[in-house]
Amino acid sequence: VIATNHTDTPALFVPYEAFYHDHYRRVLALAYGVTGSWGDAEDLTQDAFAAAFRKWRDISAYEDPVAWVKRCVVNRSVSRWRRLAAEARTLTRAGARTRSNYQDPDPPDPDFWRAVHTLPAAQRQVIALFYVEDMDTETIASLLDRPLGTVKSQLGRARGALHEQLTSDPKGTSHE
Amino acid sequence: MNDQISFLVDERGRAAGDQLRARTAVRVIPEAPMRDDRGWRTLLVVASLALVLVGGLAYVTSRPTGGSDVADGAVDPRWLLGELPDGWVVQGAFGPVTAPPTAGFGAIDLYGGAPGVDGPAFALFPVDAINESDSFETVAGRAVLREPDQALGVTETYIAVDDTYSIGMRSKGLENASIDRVLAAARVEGRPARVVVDPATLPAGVAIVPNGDSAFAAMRPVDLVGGDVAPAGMALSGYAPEGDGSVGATLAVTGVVGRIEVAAGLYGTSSTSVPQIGGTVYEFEDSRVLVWERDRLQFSLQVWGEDGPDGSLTVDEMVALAGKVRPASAEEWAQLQP
Repeated sequence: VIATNHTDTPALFVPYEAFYHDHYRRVLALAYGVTGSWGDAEDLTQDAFAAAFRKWRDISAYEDPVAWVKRCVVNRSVSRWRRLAAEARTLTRAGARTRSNYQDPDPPDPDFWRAVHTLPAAQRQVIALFYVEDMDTETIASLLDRPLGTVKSQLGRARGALHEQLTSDPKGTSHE
Repeated sequence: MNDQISFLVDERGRAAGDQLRARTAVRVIPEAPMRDDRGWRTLLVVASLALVLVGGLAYVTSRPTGGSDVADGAVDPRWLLGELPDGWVVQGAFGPVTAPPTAGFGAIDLYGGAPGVDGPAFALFPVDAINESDSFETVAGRAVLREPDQALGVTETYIAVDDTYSIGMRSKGLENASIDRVLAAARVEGRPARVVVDPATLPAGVAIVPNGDSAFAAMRPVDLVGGDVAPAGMALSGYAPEGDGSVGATLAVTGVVGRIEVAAGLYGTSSTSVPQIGGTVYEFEDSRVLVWERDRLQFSLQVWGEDGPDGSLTVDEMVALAGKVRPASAEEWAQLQP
C-alpha cells in the first residue's frame, strides 16, 4: 500500500506502523520543544500517536495526518489532565518501586531551551512550532486554530522575552 | 522589537531547533502504541493511584515523631498481607496518612451525568491560577482559557476565580454546562482547594457522581457529608521478591468515607469482578490493581512487572493474597517504617 499526499488522488490507507516510524522522532523533537523534558516529551508523543491509532481509519485519509498528531501534541502539552497523568505515572513508579536512575540528557543549547520553557504556554507552543518544526506563522495559526495576528504577537513577545533572558544571563550568550 | 533582535533570536532558535531534531533523529523508536487505550479512564485510575502516593509521600515528609497517629474512633488502616508468595519479602510500610496533600496538586472533584464508558461527561476540579497563557477570553469579567482536546473530543476550560486558583471544567457533549452555569454553581474553597458545588444549581441532567480520588476523600473526611463515614488515614506496605526489583506489589488501605464515593472511584482500561472477595480487578499496561472492601476499609493491591503484571502475580494469586490480609500490630508496623 502506498501513501499519498495528493488531494486529487483517492486516499489510500497508510499503514499506521509505517507512519509512526516515519514521524516519531520529529514529533518527539516538537514535544520536547513544548515540554522541556524528555520524559514528558516521550509520554506526550506516545499519547498523541495512541490517539491517532484509535482514529487511524479517519486520520490516515487526511491530506497531512502528521499535522493532526502535532496539533495533538501542542494542545495536550498544556492540558492539566495530561500533566496530572504524567505526575501520576511518575509518582506511581516512585512510590511503588525504586526510582529510575534515568536522567534527562541536556538538549543541544540547553540555555536556549531553558529560556523557552519559562515562557507562557501559548508562546512556548508557537516557538516550538516556529523553530523545531520550521513552520511559518500562517501554518502555525492554522494548526493552532488561532488568528494570525495573535500568533504573530505571541511570536514577537516570545522573541523579546528570549532575547532579554539570553542576554541577561552570561551563560546564555554562548551556545553550541 | 527591532529586526536586529529578531534576527539574533531567530538565528539561535533555528540552530537550536536543527540541533534538537538531529538529537532525536538518533533516538531509539519505542514500540508503536497500538492498544485501545481508554485514556480518560486510565487517567482517572492513575490519578487515583498517584493521589494515594502523594498523600503517602506527604506523610513521610511531615509525619509526627511520636504519639498515636490514628484518630479516636477511626478504623486502623495498618494491615499487611498475611501470606507472601514464595521468596517474597515485605520491604516496608508507612502510614496512616494524616497530612493533606501538597497544595500545588489540588483535588479532583467529578460531576457529571453517569460515569459511562468514557468517564463522566462533565468534571470540575481546582487548578493553579491561570498564569501560563496569554490566550484569555473574558467571560462575565473573568479570565477564561479554553483548551480543546480533539483526540478525546473534550474541551477543558479554566475559569479564574482569584489570584491563586481557577476552576477547571472538562466537558464532553454536555452543551448546557455553560460557563455562566458553572460560575453560578461552583466555588473554590479551602487551601489546598477543592471545588464545591451546590447540587441544586447544577445544570439539568447533571448530578454529583462518585469522586475519582478516594485517597483525598479518605484524608479529608470532614469535606464529605453522609455515607458510612469512617475517619481513617491510609497506610501503604510494599512487597517484592528478595533481591529482585523488577516486580513487586503495594497494598494500600484506606478508611471508607461514604461507600459510593470510594467504591466507584476507579476506572481501568478493563475491569473484572472478583466475586470471591466482592472486589474488582483493573488491568493496565504494566500493572494490575485489585480493589475490595472489608471491615469499613478499602483495600487496593497493586502489582507490576517489567514484562507486565502477569510476570509478577496472576489474578488468582492476588485474590488468594487478598483473602489473607491481617491487621498489623503497632510494634510490627513500627519495625517496618522506612
